[in-house]
Amino acid sequence: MAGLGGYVPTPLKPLAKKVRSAIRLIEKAPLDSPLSAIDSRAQIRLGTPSIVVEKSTEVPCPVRVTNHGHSVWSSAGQCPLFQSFKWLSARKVPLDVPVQKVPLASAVYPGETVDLQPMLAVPDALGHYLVKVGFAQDGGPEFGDVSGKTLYLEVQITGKAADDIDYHKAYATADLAQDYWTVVGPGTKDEFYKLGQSKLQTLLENGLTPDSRVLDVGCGTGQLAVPLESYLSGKGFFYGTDIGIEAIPYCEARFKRPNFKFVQNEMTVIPIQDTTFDFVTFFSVFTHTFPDETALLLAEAKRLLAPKGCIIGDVFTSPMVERCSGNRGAMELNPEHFHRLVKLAGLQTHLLAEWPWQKYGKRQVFRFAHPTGERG
Amino acid sequence: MIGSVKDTAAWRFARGIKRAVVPPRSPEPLPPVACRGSVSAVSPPVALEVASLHSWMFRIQNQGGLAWPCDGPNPVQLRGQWKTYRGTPFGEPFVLAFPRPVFPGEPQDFLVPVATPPFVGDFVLHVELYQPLGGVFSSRNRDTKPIQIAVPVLGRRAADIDYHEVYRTADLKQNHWWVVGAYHSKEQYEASKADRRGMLIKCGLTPESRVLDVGCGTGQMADALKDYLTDSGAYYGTDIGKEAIDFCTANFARKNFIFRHGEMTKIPFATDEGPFDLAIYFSVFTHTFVDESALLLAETKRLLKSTGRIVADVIVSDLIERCAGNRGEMLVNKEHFLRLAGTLGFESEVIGRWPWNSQAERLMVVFRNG
Repeated sequence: MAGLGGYVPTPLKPLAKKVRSAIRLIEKAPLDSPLSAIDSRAQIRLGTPSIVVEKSTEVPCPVRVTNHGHSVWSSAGQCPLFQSFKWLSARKVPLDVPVQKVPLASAVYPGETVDLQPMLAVPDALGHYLVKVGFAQDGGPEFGDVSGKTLYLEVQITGKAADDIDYHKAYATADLAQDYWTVVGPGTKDEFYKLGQSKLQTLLENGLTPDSRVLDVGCGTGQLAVPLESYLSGKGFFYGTDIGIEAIPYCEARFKRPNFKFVQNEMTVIPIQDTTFDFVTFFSVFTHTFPDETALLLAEAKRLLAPKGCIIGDVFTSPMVERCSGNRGAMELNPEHFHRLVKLAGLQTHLLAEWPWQKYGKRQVFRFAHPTGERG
Repeated sequence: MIGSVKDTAAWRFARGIKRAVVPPRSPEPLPPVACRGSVSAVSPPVALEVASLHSWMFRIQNQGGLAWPCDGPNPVQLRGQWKTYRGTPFGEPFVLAFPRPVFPGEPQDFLVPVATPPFVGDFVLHVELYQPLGGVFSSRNRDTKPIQIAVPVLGRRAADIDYHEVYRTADLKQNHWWVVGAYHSKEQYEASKADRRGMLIKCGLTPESRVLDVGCGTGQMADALKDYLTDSGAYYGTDIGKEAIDFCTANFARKNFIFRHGEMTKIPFATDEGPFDLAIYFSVFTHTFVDESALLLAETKRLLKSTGRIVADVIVSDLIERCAGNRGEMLVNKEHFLRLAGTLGFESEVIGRWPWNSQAERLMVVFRNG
């Protein structure tokens, strides 16, 4: 049809265009041979250069494309053409995520500019990524923008908003007398006690004695207080803090030893003065705070540390994340960025244990201490 | 008996016709028992752009037994109110109308356009069911609860900056003042040179000072200092734009003027190239995330004399809990920012302040070891 343009008298051109687009609607326009270099000239513009998306979802990825070749592009025929999306790390290392091929909704004719709205499937690992946007043909070439410049869409994958946590709401709606374990994570009462025991074990391996002074930040409903209640002597003591105000009266009622105290803390402020501790623990705290908050909490802990005391905390790290990604439901940090922030707070790290977390990440437990072993 | 008739397709068909022909009306406030229902947001957005319209999906369930009209003199609507993260209302409440009536029973999803506030900040959208005559349902029926959805409101994506791109596409020979942002003409750039230098002198600059300039750009400070610093002073500039470093190296050819390409949170000077008397951060923390700013300050501490000072500008807003924005413009909570500097042992003093917009101000801050 394109070649007929020259034979149509000018007054009839608008009509001819309408006829042409009607024909194109029903025409299949199959692509049966590989495109030549000239026919694979495309001008591609991304609708948005960067997006923040939830993991494991599909997001619209608007692309404006102009066919500067001489043949029709379509996803029909023996050598169909697709839009291709290839996931790379922020440093452009290809990932083991299969290339996503999206068929064209309708054929793109030479000279035509169309807005495509493919849905991009988002992987399930938090982080900062680049998605290489272009075209791929079965049995033919892969190609991008005619300028030769590779087009990348920047994508930050963050946690699902549905998994975000409002701690105050979580406590306000929980019946702690009936179920004091779900609100702090474990699915069963047994698991609650088992995890408490393993936390005690971690502290013992790092020098806990019955006379130790322990501060448990984010004490929740007392997972660590349970084993310490029978372990600590009258000389040792336990302070628990949590940002959930409901957790405090619950713990006060359950742990009645005079050397067990509970107080509400703010997100980055621990309201304790004039007392120092041999252990400050942050179990499942830095897995929910932003890195700048983590730095402030570590600085608070350092302020409260006795000579030779240490801090124990766990964190999710992933090399896919540039600084941090996620929400209060789960936060993942870049490992180097995290270590630099710990150093900024004047502390040294020592890795105690680690497990795989999600696709690329790790859950790591660290001991943090003053570089000289003394209080700063 | 009636129940089983109501389950038939014929009943539902007849009901559908009746509803289409006679839409529900409620000129009087609905009785409290009919004000029972729920509202929730379906897949609320992760974050939104400032001053934009976003279509939210709300799921509405009428549990009150009477139909809720969507038009007429006294329709049932959603009442929205933006609040700051501290919970204080921000701006006027607004009404979100339903496109069709809500009948008792099955939850219904409505797409409703919501305008975001015109300021960057950590906002909460408060939404509840409402009737103009009668007021909010939560005050009429205690089973009906408002909802609150936290939404960070960010700067426009179009205002985000890729510094490498900016430098790559700028012609630095023709207009090296434009790429660094604040100047409209070369004349203005030249005229403000003395002002820039004067401010540094107030911060303790002397002709013998050793100066570290992070984010030196095309040399707006180097230009102001090139005829001021003596040979016993020194100027070290760094920028993440390699083109800027090449430009400065070519244009400021003094032996004690050193330029080096740096990374986002790393200063490319060895500790023994210091220590410096004065570190300058002009329009740096206005573009970096607050944890990045903290790491830059830690880098600076490594290079600073114990009596040295840091002078920096930052945009602060009470609407922000920690930091919000993008590389085009970053806003911080002042207390949070200063506390992070405090973890490094820095004391701060605000030496200048200018309004930024009606909700934020730009501060000039001097840090020194406490």
